[in-house]
Amino acid sequence: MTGGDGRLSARYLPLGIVGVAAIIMIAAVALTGRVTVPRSVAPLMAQPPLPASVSQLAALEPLRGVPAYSLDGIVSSPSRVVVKTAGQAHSNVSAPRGQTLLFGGWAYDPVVLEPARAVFLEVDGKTLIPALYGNQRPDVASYFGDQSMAATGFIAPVRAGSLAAGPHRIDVIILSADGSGYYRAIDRVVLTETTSSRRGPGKGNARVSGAKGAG
Amino acid sequence: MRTPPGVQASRRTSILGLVTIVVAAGVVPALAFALVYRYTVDVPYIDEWTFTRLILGADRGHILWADAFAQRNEHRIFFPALLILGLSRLGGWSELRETLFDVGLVTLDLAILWRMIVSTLPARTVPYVFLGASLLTFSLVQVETLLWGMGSEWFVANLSALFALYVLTLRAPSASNVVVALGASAVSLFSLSAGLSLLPVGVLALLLRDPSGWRRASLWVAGSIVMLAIFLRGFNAHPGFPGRAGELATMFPQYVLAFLGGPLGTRNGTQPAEFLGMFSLAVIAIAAIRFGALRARGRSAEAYVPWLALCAFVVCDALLAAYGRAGLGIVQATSSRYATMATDLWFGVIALLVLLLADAWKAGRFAVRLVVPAAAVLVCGFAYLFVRAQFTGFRYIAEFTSPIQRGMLAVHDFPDPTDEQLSLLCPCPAYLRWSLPALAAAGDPQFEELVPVRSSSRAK
Repeated sequence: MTGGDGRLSARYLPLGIVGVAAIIMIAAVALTGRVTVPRSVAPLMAQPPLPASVSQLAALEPLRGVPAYSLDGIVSSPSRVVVKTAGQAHSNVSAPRGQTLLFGGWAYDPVVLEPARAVFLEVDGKTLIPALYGNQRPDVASYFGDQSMAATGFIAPVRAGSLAAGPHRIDVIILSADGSGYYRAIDRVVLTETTSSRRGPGKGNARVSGAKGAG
Repeated sequence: MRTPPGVQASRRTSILGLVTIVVAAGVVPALAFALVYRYTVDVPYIDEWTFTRLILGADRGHILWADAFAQRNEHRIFFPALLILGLSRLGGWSELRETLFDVGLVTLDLAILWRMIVSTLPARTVPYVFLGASLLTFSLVQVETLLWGMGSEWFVANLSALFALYVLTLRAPSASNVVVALGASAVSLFSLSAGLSLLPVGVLALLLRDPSGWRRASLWVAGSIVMLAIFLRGFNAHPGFPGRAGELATMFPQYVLAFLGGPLGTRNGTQPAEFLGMFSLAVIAIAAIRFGALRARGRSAEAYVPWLALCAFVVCDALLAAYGRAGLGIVQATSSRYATMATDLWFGVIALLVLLLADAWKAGRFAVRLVVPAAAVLVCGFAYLFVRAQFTGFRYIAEFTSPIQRGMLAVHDFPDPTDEQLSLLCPCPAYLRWSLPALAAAGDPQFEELVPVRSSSRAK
């Protein structure tokens, strides 16, 4: 660092560092420019409120047509995501009572070929559970060859302990992109609760079986 | 022709120094960039929610200037708000873009630190001190500021404070440079209240450099009064800040010490941080005495000025933080986000130690025998503390890697968000409203465990 080289680096290194900082800042913008997490507020605000119950859902128009969706994962705890079994039946997925089953998949509006307004799970025709919709699914976008399909993933939680023993029907409700109507998934998931558990009496497991993806 | 051995050694030293500099200026920022890209909390998080009104306003075509200037806790976050608004215009509001951009801001710190190091420290030590400064600058102790979008406030304030101190202590002493430094101080002050510390420290820096420079000091004081008047206009004391007098009396010194030692004393409670705080104050005191002695003998002591001023800035910031927040508990003093400012102190301490050891080296053979082991112990000690701090940072990062947990925690921290605010987090506010109590009731242990971690260190 002494002598001519040292003086040169002492003088020009700050310029180099500023250059590195500039590259980082440009990269920050360039890399995040491709992030398509839906954050655009205006279109969401302009739309009517989402249904909060089955009765409010009934006020919307049931749309005909084949729902474009797949229920491709069920997992027993929100911290252990995700069992992906795209297009295959679910079996032997269980969760201790009181924990949450997460249903994961993707869906979109099949008519306008855009992401849906929202996705819900309807449990036994009584309870409407909104799904976290808009997650990134690059595999779906790649499959359809359309990047607008990337933000079509959903995750919906169902509390295993809130369901009584026996079979349950869980329909996937897909709101159209404009929010005016909904598609009801033809395929269903049957949730059965078992009492066999290594955790001791009173802490049965909810077990999922017989799901079939439609996508 | 055979090259003399001394020249070869010098060349090797030179090449090693060059490699060290490249690592410090290029590799370390690149690694930080990759880490931030991988782990950023890409949702509005805790205090970031306060920006949603601004973002929404801008989205509708009008910027709420009063909102940008409004008081938030004890801060006015005007310039970072402008930065966030500007970045949000480049493709929507993205915390990832903000945090990656922040890495660029932190890298700019290195340019200033380089100028300070190369202007004051012995040439042989420059590359290695610079590497240390780079590693500290990007230390993972600051995960909160590095990985949350709200880190912009800290980094803008810190960068402008460093620049102001550099101009005051190392640029030509002139009125125009004082004005430039005042401008940088204004950016710092209106980014984070830590910028308040610059106002008294600026006078100190000017007088340390030139005890007869009262005209420039007066200019600085006049500018500071104007800035302070603007800052305090319509300012309301935050409820609960400062704490009760009794709490302040008992906790104040501990809080200050823990704040100062926070970047390196990261485990086993606050005592290691307090001890390191005491160590740093001892080094500053010894350096100040040495500086006074050199001045009294009419010898050059210019090299001490920027580092003493930098240390004074952080100590002043610690005093302010302790005055406002000691009542919230000492643990808060070691918060990750405070490490961004407190790290500046350690640049200063390391530089002062180098200067003191270099002075001792010149003192004679006996001193040389002491300097080498002392330097070795210090280097090993700092390396150990630094590595330990990085593990602490990694552990903290690990707790925020689940996107679902991140999203839920963000909502959990904001008790009553509007649908508009929630729609910034995800396109389905109903889901968030529904799922949070369900998740909490589900008793997921990981979810429950994270809550107290945040609760103890959430206020900025």
